[in-house]
Amino acid sequence: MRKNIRLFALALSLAALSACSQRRPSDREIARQRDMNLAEVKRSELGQVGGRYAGNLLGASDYEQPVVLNLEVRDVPEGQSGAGVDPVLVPKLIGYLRFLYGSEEVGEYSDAPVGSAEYFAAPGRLNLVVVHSQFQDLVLNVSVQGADLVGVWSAASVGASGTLRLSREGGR
Amino acid sequence: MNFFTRYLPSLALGAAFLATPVAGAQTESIQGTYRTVLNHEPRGAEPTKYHQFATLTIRTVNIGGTLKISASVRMIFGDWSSNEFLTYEYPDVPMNLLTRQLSLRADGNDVSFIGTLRNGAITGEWFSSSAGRVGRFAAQKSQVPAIERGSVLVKTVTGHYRGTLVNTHPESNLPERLSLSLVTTQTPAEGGTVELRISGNLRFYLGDFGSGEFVETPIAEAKFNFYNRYLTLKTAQHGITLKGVLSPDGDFVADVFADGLGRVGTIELESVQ
Repeated sequence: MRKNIRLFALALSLAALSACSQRRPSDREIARQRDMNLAEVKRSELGQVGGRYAGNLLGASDYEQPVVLNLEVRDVPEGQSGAGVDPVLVPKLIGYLRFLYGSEEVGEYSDAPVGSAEYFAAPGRLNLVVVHSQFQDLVLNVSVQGADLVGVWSAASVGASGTLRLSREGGR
Repeated sequence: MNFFTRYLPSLALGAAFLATPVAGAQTESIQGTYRTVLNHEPRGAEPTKYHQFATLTIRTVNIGGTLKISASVRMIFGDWSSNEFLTYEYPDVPMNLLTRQLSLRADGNDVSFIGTLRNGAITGEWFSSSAGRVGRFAAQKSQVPAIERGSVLVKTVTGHYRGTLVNTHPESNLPERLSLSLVTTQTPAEGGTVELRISGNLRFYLGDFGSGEFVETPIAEAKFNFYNRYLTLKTAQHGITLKGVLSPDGDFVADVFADGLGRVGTIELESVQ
């Protein structure tokens, strides 16, 4: 009986020692973990709209301008200055809007990069700003309808606007 | 299971597939040679519409995701088989991404084109540096664009002209019948370009046309503006100069000058070949 009590006391001592040796996470580590979790959620959301879409810009001088929208989810290092947190990889939508003029195979297109992209998963809204020297900003405000992006476009600097409908290649 | 319940899902699926835009569906290349009709709209008191054939060659290259276009234009005088033409090079042809408007202009070129590329065709307006806006143009790869009704083809300068001379100077007694033969040749010029050179003969008939009684002199110097159609010819002998307008349909109305006498008469010739 005495022997059992000794063993129990020894086990208790070891457990206490082990608990003391486990370091409590720092605030910095907690913040980093939180950012990484948020990034994972964001990555998952953006993954819903990433892909290659094809369709037309309607209303460009009464002509259907064939375009291809290519969106990829890329992790971009983003630090919070002054927060004392290491930069975390933040998922962002990047890509380009390709204006097709003839054969894509022989390079008869011009690409305009996506300057900024915001995706709101709950309402399924995607706002893109495509930049090019000819029209400065081309704003696309679209809603995600299954495998389609449907909405409006406008280029305020050249006074042009219209509608667009793009379909994801390969469907959903 | 009736017809609708059995086949409607398949039909709906097929319709949805057809309605789905496909990337790269517009596969016809824009580069290549377009057969072009250049319209000369009536100007001033001249009511006649003229047209002229041309070939427009578009070249494309993609540099880092940006389409670069260059072009060359061959303006033909006469029909498609004519070897009387002027060639212009446009090394950089900007295109508006949204409107598809193309601008063919280059320093040193007498003609420029502003057009829109749609559905495999380029249509727009063309301009000359000497006359301003000349008219509209249309270019297509697959076929020759439609020619306006009543429009007359711009003839070649090369040809045989025949007509009459009216002496207006008391000391001038030039023969009243004359013929003119003109031939154009392509001659390499500075900068790798090609010039159209004009040569020919002027023949004064003392008797009827076709008789052997004539005096002939080569054309020593010929200058022709292809845009305002102003033609100046100086003979190698007898010191005669003809200055006037050669109309697109081949009428040459000009003043006649003689060295030492000045303006001595007028001529009216028409193309007979």
